[in-house]
Amino acid sequence: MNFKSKKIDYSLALILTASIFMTTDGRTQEMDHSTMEEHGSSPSEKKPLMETPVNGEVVKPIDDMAVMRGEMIYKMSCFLCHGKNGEGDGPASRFIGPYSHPRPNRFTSGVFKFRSTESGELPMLKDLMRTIREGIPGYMPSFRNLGEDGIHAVASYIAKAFIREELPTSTTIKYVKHVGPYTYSAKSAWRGGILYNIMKCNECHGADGKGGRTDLKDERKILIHPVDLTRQETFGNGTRHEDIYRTIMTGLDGTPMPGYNDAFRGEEDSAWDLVHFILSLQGR
Amino acid sequence: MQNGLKVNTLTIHLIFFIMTGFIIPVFQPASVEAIPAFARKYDMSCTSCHTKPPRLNAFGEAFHMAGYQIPQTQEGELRKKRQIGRIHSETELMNIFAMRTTGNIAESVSGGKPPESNIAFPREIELYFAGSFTNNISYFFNLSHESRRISGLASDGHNHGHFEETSEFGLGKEFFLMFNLRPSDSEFSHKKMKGPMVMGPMIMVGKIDPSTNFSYSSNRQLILDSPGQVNRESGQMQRFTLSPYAFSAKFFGVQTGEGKAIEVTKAVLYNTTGSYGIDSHAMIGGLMLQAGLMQGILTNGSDVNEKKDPYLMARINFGGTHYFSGSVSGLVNWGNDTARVGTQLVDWFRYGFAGNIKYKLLDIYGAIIWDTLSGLSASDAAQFDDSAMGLTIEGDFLLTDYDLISLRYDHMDAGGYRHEKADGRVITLQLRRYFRDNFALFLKDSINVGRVSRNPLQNYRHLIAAGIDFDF
Ligand code: HEC
Ligand code: HEC
Repeated sequence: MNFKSKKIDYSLALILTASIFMTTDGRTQEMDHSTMEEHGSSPSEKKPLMETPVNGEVVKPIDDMAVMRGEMIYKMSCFLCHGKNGEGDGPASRFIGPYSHPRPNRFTSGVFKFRSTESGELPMLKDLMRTIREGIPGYMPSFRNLGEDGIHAVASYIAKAFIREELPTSTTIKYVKHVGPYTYSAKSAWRGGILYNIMKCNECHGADGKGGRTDLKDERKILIHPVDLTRQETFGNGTRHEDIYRTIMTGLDGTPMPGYNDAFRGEEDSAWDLVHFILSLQGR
Repeated sequence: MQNGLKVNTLTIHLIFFIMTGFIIPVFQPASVEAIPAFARKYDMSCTSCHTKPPRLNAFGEAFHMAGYQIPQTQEGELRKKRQIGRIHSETELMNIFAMRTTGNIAESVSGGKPPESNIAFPREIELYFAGSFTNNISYFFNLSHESRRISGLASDGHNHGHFEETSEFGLGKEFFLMFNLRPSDSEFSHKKMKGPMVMGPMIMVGKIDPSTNFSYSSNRQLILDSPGQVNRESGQMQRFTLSPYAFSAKFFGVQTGEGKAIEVTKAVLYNTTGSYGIDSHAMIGGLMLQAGLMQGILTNGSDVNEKKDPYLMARINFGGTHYFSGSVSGLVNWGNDTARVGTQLVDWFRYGFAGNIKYKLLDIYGAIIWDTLSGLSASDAAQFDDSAMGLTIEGDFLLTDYDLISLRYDHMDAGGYRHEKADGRVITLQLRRYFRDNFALFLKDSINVGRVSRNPLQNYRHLIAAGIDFDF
């Protein structure tokens, strides 16, 4: 059922690059390898460097009242694209992606692109809420004007009515905050550029990031184009620095875009190098 | 051709060749480009709301119904708006402004007399300003420049009337404010969960096209009208505009209240593409009810009719799973002393049905409309057929992400003066290629499958045209 992206072992490549830069940059030593990600309240003295914003935020649990309200919102708006039964077969859905990706998500399939959880896992409730709040440029409007309660309600309805499984409330992916040594520097972007090729991002996204491969198919066997990394307006999973970090770590399930969490385990700062390289492609 | 430049058939073929053979491979279709106002504002591609502009898909219809807002949200995107008290203002003009240029750029008529070819300038340039002031007041303003516009002149109603071709810049087809009397609010209670979901009532005031809520609306045509032709010296009609016959006037010799000729194929009454009036509509579950009053029957609202023309429309929406949606609508419309036959003011009664089915990438829609005139003078009654029927059915299908094929059938059992009326049967086949989400070239052939005669409704076999549809 779940489309599990292939996890590739990049440890060799990482060790290689790490050893190149270890000598020129003491930054990797600053990395905190403690396991704070389970609950972001560990009393570590290096708190400003590492945070677990994903697990730390509290989202209201799903309750019946929310589900009822969510159903009303869903049946006025969302069903037109996602279908009354959450099958992605709403009447407007085919026109959005006639013969190419994306089409409205099939919530019943359990395959979700926009998660902060590991590849192959269900999203957290807050992931659904983020997508609904921000929308998906090009394909789904932002529903921020439902208000946070409305957003919570409709996300709860999707979870209860269509996913029908307990959603995870934490993730094993380590979210390193974009502060201190993890902020942008030209050097970091340069390292990212090397990683981009070593990790074979270029095979799909092209040497210039503009999207090379034209033969890729998504989980539904529909043509999909790798995102043009030079154009942030085409990013579906958000364009903030931490959004791009999340995309790289989790991958986009149901598409060929793999998650690189395993490859970066313990080397999360290298993932930030990649983020910075992408930012540099966009002149940001 | 009056406004077009006259050229020979060879040039026309050259242009078709250039368009289809040369331009197509040069422009590679581009992917998602957020285009006109709403697409820019919500950061969405055109096809989120349209099958292909200007036809709406189910989501576009819901957006339209909710007063240019995303259903259930108070105003879909405040991110780019500044809020002054309860009024939002757009910080970016481009989020409310859009432009559309449409029309034939090459035409060829064959089988009639005389055969002709010409190149032309796109017929219509329209500017739109649309959005919402507050969560319950929306606006839609449209300015347009229309060339080769056919307007009726004062005449006795015989010999198909007298007309002139004009170019006009001014208020476009629609220009109105829309008030939602019951905006969706963020308060939620158990009480609201009881009974069917209600949207509206909405009130539209201004220059309106009430048929935007009909299952087949007049102003959302993927096959554009083929402009008619009048003789500039004599004002004689040489060929009527080819437009969806269902919505047309259908009576040969009928005039406005002022005594100006009405083109037989002009969309009138409820199905006008814009006239002054007031409209109210609401959704209760899957049922839409609409009622309103219009002034006169003409697009221009130039009519001096003291009485108003009321209409009632009911529409049922269905579908929502399996890529399927549809609707059926029923209409009654009473034109009160709204037109003239000879010296007599006549009542115009119109009723009809429309339907629409969308399944995956197929969109089929049609309308059948009957018209009856009453109150004719005794002398006219003998020589004037007071009832008429029009039928239009169209199917559109997306062959690829960028190619749309359309097929339309138009049928008219005309009314009017018996010695000059004629019936029409036309099949139109069209191919559109979208080089971008917002830029299409089309090639179409309208085939008169009925009789070819000297009558201006029938005097051609093929009407071939190539043109553009560009939205910005
Ligand atoms: C105009 C059509 C449209 C409407 C309306 C719409 N969506 Fe979507 N939605 C999409 C499309 C298309 C996608 C897939 C985009 C992609 O895969 O990049 C999507 C994806 C999603 C996802 C993300 C799934 C994932 O893979 O992570 C969620 C959650 C979602 N929609 C919820 C909603 C909710 C809730 C509503 C109503 C409040 C809604 N959508 C209304 C078109 C729509
Ligand atoms: C097997 C092919 C493939 C590889 C390898 C690949 N990607 Fe992708 N990537 C894709 C595809 C396909 C998409 C588009 C997914 C979509 O449209 O939702 C994508 C999307 C993205 C996005 C945009 C996500 C969004 O918000 O829409 C980013 C950023 C990205 N990839 C970065 C990377 C980086 C960095 C690497 C290397 C570490 C990489 N990709 C490797 C295929 C690939």
